[in-house]
Amino acid sequence: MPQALKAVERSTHSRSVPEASAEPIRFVFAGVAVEFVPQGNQPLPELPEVLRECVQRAGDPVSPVAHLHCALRMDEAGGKSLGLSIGWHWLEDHASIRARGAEGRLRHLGGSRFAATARYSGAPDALRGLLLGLVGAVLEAHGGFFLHATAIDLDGEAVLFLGPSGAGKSTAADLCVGRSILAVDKAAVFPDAAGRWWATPMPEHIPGRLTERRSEHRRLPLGGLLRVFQAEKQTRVQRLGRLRRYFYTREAVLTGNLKGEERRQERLDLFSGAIPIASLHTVLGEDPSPSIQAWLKRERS
Amino acid sequence: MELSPDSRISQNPRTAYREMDGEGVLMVIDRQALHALNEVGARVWALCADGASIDGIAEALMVEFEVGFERAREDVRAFVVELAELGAVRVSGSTDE
Repeated sequence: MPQALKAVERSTHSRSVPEASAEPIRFVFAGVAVEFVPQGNQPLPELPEVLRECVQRAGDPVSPVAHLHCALRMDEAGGKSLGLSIGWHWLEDHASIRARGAEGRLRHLGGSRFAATARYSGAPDALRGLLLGLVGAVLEAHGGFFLHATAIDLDGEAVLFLGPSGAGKSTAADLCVGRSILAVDKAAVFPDAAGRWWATPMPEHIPGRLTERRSEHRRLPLGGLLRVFQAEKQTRVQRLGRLRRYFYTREAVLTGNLKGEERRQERLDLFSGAIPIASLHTVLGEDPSPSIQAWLKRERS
Repeated sequence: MELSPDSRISQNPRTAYREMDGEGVLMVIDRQALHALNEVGARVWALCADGASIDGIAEALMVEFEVGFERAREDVRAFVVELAELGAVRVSGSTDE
């Protein structure tokens, strides 16, 4: 008979006070080139610091996988939603985005181009939530996902640790001595035009040891995903069947409304079959990096 | 929850389900909760699609999994109660209604 597993948890983190700008804001986040264009003579704020930390820099070598143009209006009413929600209506090629203090409507113009109209309350958190919703929807159209995950830089590849809060994601990253941290608690994964998968951090502000070890990189090739468990005897990486690979990945996806869920599941099924996914059983005091390296090597051989 | 043999079990429409290799992953949208169903659980879930009675599900399992009727009914009853507590199914005709 079935076994109930834990729910996905969500959290939001943001702080900083923006300054106003009447010019469009352009940046690349999670592989998506975003252009926010102010409407109604109302200036836009600068990106909050927590977002700037995730924005791809000019020297990053990889082209954006999609382009998003968003007409953005400040409206004190913002939006009524209490959390982030992405609802794709695939047949009509549009998505509804709701975030705390913001809402928008996104249209897929074809190929890699998207357009949106949106309003937000003026609060930095509302802009952050809106951006996550819009880019999350674009990523979903391209087969990408936002994941509740801690990501390390392992020899130039991103290895993501998955699991609900308390599973030991941060602990696993902590044990990986000398490895820098790509994402502390949330990461986006997405394919490029050639079908290669990438990982990038999501905006969050969680002070602590992992943040101090943040990588200089804004995105890395995706090496693999590991669902973390804490063990007592021996560090090990264990292969998983198809159901568990899917389950642990879906468990980590930070989108969960009904609209578009069928398409989301199909893409997640493909993703969890294409990327190395296993369970990592960590033991306090033991660096799991050699076990992870050996596992990745086996997966590729 | 007390279930009668005639209680009708139906899937909550606000669930998402994916089956692979005979097993399933069930998501209860409003609780943001995922549940893994084994082969028997996946079959019971499928039988709930059009609304089914405890006895009807038990009879199907008895044939397909070669178990006795009483054993199947008890397992189904316990599983349905679990599904109802998870918010995954709706039960009509339970004796506590």
